[in-house]
Amino acid sequence: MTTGVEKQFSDELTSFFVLILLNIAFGALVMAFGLQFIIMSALAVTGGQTSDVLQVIRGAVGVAGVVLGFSWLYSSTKIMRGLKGIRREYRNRAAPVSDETVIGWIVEMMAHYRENRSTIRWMTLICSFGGCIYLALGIVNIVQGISAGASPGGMVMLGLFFFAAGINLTIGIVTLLLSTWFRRYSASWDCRLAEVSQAEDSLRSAMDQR
Amino acid sequence: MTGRRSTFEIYWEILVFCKTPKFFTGIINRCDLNSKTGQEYLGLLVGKGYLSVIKEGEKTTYAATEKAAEYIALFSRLYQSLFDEIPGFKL
Repeated sequence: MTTGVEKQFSDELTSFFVLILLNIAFGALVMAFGLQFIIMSALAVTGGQTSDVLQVIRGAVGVAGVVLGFSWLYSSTKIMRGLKGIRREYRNRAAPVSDETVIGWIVEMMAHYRENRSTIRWMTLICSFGGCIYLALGIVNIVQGISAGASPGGMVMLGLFFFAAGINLTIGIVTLLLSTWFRRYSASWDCRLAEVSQAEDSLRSAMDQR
Repeated sequence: MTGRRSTFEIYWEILVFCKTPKFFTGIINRCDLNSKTGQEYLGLLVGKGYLSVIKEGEKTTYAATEKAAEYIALFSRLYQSLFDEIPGFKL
């Protein structure tokens, strides 16, 4: 009876685990890029290159990136913490799996979602916001590349800007995809939470009949 | 099991755990409850006839009754339907 449910549970658990891992990787990337911006602006200021205002803006963007990346990582690890316990239990299961064991996992996932619901919503927002920023950065890189390519001997710069644009656009698209997947995960579990509140009415009336 | 569980989920956990007689301390440890809430839950389940109190000398244990089996079955059916009927998340 539980084989189908167990399979679906296993698929969902694995998918969500992969999603969180991807999220951690991209959070770390955002943080790394933020640090890179800060270091570049600090080096430029000490080296006396270009205007100070530009470097301050670049530094501020870097700080924002580090803060966003840190928040991204923190939220992801918070979700990961609960998930790892459930995954460990699932992986250490002894066959054949009883109905009660499967229901126990479902209850744990439900409790995990209730506890992390707001964090997952926050994650969705962060991913959407981060994705848009990266797409914007990619577009800026393309514009910079085109203007650099128009100047004499600017082909190397054009190549570099287009390479940077490729990286930024890829991160932006994947990050927006992460946000869509988080939305789908939330939609599925919100639906289940709504069903649970109906199920609780049945359980309550069954208990009251006693 | 930790996290935010509903009252009915906690009842289910206690009843499943008490399929064989269990001590109060074992129940609250297994179900991650404190002493006060543990007493409340057990009191309610005993009152509704889902748990029976077994006293052997100074030792008191709790065991799930036949009525508890009905609750466990209904709970399992309802929670399995969450995965049977609602499309799940997959990458």
